[in-house]
Amino acid sequence: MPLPFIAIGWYGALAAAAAILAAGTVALNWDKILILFKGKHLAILGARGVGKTHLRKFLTTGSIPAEYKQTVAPEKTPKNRFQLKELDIKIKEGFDISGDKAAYAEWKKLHDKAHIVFYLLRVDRLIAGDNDVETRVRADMRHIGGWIEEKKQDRPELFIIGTHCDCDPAFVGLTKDKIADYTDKFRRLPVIHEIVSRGGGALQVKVVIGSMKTVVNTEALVFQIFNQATT
Amino acid sequence: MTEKFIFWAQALDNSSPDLITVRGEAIGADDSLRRQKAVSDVSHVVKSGNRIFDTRGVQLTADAQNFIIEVPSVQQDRDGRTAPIVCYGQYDREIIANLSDYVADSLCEFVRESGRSIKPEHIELVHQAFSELKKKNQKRRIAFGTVIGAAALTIAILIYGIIRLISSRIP
Repeated sequence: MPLPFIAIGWYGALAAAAAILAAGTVALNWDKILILFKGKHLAILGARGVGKTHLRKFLTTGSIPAEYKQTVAPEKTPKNRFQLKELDIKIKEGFDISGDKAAYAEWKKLHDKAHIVFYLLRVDRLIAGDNDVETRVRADMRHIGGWIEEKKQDRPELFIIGTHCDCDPAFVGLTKDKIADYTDKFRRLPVIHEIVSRGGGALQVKVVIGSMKTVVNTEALVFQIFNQATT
Repeated sequence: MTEKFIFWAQALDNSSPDLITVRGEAIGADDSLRRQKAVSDVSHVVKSGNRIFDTRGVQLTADAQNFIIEVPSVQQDRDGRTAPIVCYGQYDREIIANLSDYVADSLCEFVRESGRSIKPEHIELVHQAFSELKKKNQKRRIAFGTVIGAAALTIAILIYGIIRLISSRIP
């Protein structure tokens, strides 16, 4: 299903991506992206309320949920086409699953089948030094790091995706040149250092942050993911 | 009443452990094995089953022997999201007739104990959902009976034909 892009949405996405990337233009290598993502199984993992359902819906329908509900029982998401400019990727059928620790066994099943793993976490809470969120993120990555170790040669591509930047007052209203500083500040957090290390180190793990408050913001975040995927 | 089912609800603060009860017993956050088993039972139905009913937030999914029904609670979580309650159970020909009553009563008991509530219209939809499951189950049984009957008839005709063939060759 094609993304419901309209001209304003498209340029808005580009503008937002450009702002977040602190660059004048966004030049993505669509061929490389296609090779990396085509026909691959994607696992979207993360604690409760980080935006897993939102991102999966965007990647499978091009829209964001009109109403939000907690994901308790898993939801089957049908296979679909994700179209974005020159990119046209078949997204395989997947599952949207709960973020509670009780779902770890289900996370592992998704992880073991996946070629690409998105681990979502809340930037605003980590920047604010929320101990509960830090503890949870560490626990999640202990598991994910262990599963990646088990797969060794066949390890999935791991993306750590920070969401909810818009909920941090320090982020809102930042100018282009200051967004890069904010991103650096996030990457320097001890917990981020630790989980990147558990995921296999900075060369293996891609870190992306942004907001998914609107469709435009979500597009910008996805642009960043693609940008990181090809660097 | 809740001893027949697994109930699962996410905490409204999104940080406390999810509330999971298995056959009437609340499973604590430190009992990760039993909690993960309960979640796997629920997940299995989603993977192997089909969506039978989906109206105004009440969703029933079932495979040949198990079902899960998701019902929105009146309360929303800290982020303003709908907070559904999930009920897992097994069914067979005998209990399907009264299943919606069992589930509705058990749901009411679970929400009362967990300090939540469900709108009466959603309870009504629970009954409708199980009526749909009953209809689908009857259709499946009729289809299964038809296939078995056709197979038995085919085999009988074949055997009859073979006997006729053999007897015609015996002088």
